[in-house]
Amino acid sequence: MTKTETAESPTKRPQTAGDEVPAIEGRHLSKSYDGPLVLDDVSFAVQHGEFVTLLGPSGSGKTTTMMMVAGFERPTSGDILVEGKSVIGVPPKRRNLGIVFQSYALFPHMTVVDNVAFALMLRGMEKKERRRRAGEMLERVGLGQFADRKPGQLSGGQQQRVAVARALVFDPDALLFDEPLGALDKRLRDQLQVEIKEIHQRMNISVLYVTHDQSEAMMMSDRIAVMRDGRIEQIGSPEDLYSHPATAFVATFLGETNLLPCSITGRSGEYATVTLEDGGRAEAHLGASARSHQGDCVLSVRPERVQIVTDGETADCRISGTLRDHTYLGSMHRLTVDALGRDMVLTLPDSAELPSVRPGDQVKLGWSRADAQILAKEA
Amino acid sequence: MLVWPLVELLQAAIQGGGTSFDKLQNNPTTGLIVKNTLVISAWTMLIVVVLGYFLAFCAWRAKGAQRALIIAFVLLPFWTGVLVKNFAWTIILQEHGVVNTVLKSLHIIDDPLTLLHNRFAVIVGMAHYCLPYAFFPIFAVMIPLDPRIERAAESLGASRWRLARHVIFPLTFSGILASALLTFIISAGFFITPVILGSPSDRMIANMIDQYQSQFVDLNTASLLAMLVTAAFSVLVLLYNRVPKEGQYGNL
Amino acid sequence: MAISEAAPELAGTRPRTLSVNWTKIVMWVALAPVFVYLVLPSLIVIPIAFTSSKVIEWPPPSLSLDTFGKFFADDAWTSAIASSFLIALIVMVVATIVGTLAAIGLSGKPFLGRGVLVGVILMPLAIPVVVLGLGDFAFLARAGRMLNGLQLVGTRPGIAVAQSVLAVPFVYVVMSAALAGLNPQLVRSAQSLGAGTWSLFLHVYFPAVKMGLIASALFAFIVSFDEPVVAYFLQGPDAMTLPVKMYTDIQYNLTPLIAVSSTILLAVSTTIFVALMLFVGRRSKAVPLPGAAIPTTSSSSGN
Repeated sequence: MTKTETAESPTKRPQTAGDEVPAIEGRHLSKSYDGPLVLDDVSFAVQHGEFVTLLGPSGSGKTTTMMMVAGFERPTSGDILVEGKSVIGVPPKRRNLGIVFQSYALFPHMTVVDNVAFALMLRGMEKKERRRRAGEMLERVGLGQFADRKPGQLSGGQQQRVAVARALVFDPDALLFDEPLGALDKRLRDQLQVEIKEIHQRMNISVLYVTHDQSEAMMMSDRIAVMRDGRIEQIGSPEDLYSHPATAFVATFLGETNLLPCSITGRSGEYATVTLEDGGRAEAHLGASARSHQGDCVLSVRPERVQIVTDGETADCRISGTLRDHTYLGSMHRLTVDALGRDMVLTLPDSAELPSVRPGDQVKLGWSRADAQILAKEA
Repeated sequence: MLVWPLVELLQAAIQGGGTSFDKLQNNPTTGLIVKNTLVISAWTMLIVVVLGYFLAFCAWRAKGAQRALIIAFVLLPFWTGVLVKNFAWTIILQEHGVVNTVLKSLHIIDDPLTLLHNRFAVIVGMAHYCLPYAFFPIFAVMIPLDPRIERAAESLGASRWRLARHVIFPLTFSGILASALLTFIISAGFFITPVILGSPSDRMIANMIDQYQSQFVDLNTASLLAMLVTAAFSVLVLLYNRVPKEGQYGNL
Repeated sequence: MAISEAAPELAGTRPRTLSVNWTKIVMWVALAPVFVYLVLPSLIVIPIAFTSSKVIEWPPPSLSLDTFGKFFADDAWTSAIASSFLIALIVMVVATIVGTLAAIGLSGKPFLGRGVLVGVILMPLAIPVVVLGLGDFAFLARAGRMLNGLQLVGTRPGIAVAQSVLAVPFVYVVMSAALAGLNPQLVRSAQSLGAGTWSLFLHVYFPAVKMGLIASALFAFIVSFDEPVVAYFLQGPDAMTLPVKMYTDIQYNLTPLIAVSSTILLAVSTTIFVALMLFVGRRSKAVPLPGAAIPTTSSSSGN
């Protein structure tokens, strides 16, 4: 057991990007309820002004992690730091974090402005002043004219904005969002994603966001931590995760991909040579999970990176198959090719020149070696 | 059969008219009985609302089997007949009853306490009867509360006391009101318990109606009294029906 | 594992998981006496019923069945048992039929005056029973005079009719809930398949409300079986129910025989409660939890 600093309660630091002390940091967090670990050695950091998302299916431990940061759950081991100071044992009310809950948890008996002013009241602010500040915050989220309504009289999207205003008004060190858009329909969700993103940028506040929706995570986050079975599979920027997934799970969870079983025959730096099921050889980028992996692997290629190649063209990797299906989806064409005994999917933008192939025709598929990832095969 | 008995009473009450009214007014015990009814009912109400709130809060906090256990205990008095309960209280509270025996064997007291045939016994028995009626209206307003509300308040900086005062209490206030009115209405109509557990000076309004009917054989005066009681009750029942019930905050 | 020293102002704060457990422990410790208060009166009568003593003593000196023997040899008590069961059976039949018909008649689309009718049906819940008892007495006395001196007050049928009025609201509430759970599409689809009134009732309505009917009947039975006040006002030499006999004996003749009667009442209510739970509670969601439906509508039901 090590003893970290003895210090006064966490105080606020100036929020400047690039500060070496993260706004929120989780170190080797584990949790078990008298049984198997529900959280296993989770570490992450949210830098000042950064928007970090915990993304994963239900049961992956993302909400547990967030509730630990908020102070409603206690890690079995590990440490949580806010502004560089451990907050283990600090009750939620002293952590100074603004939380937007799933289903918002607004106080139904209070007016909208009283909901927002609640935290200020608890901090002993005088009534006139706190109503003014709450009113200002409501103006900023565009709900100024609804101040005296009850939450029950507002739409889902408006309630969501009240919840954000309530979490922001007391100038918290960071904002935590626990699947705040889960209950809303698609259009409203898209709109509120933009709004939350705007608030984040305008207020320059650090955000830890929990969701199971990968497109939501991609759209909003500076960095995403993909979680699965209580572990973090990979942390990185959306581009990083999409083009260089560390594991086959990340590759399939974020967007669509083609997975071709293969085995590594030779390694050279960032790249390796693999043998595919038909005996063909291909070169591809070595993903993180395959670097020191000795067993079976898979080759992951995104549908939009696969091309139909004609005999004259060259490509780093090629396989041949039979076109099975062609669907027009408006913004793109989606082709299914029967190759190596499985379905390969490729998409072409609407603007692309379509090769003159029909279902049943033989086609050759190719892609560049930088667009293919070799990843450890998962059960 | 539903309405006619009441019409009958109304008729008898009118027949008696002023004479009956004078009788009631000149009866020296009328004032005492009305006061008894109000005081005993108020005490019962106070006790069961506090206990009912505590039980409802525990049941709300507990989940699954533990919640079912609490509800089962609360429901138990429902399924025990009134006379069984009253008889049981006489066994428990009498001079050589359960409470006195236990206290004596623990050497807490030397002489038995007088627990039966007084106001204390009446209130204990009535509160036992009324507790489920206090529990359910409060529990009903607690059930739809989102438990995340507690967390939300805490994350905003609320202490337990502030949480209770500013969030939980106001959100359950309508349940408290409903439960208080309901138990007061029930208490004020008690008939059996004051006789069995109380002393002759603890009789309540229902007993007075019975007294005019069976002792004085004065149906007209009994009817007048019954009609007055019904009128007073109707006001309380109307009030009770106006207390907002669950769902008052719209869709959340 | 890194454990940080808490800031000075937080030194007294317990770790959260621990404090949650403390709340739980405190909660259950505080609940225990309340549980005793709730349970004790329902259980204490049983040992007294098996006492060997001629007087009520705590604790019973030894256990025996003598008191039971004496109870069943006593004509006054056996007659009270007979009255109670007979009256409760009549109430069960009458109240279930009347309450169910009322629920069917008042279900479906609202119509003018429906609110008033519902109010009248539920009225017995809002009026002190003592008022109803007195009213029933006055009414049955007059009705008897009008029907050529027919004796109604002080008879078992008289009590049964009066108590039915008390039981109808319970049946009505349960049956309305059961009928509300019936899918109207089901009725339409049965009609489209050619079902007539009779087969509609037999194959659609009856199966849907069967559990509600059973629950109603059990409710009605127990309402009558435990009811003391109306039965007290209408009592007669041959029509004294167990609760009324107990009311009198507790005041003037306190013996362990009352404990036997209590045990019998308790056994009957427990049987009915268990039957309701096993039979109805599990299979049909349309039937409200016993009691749960009552407090929202009822006030006094005999005390």
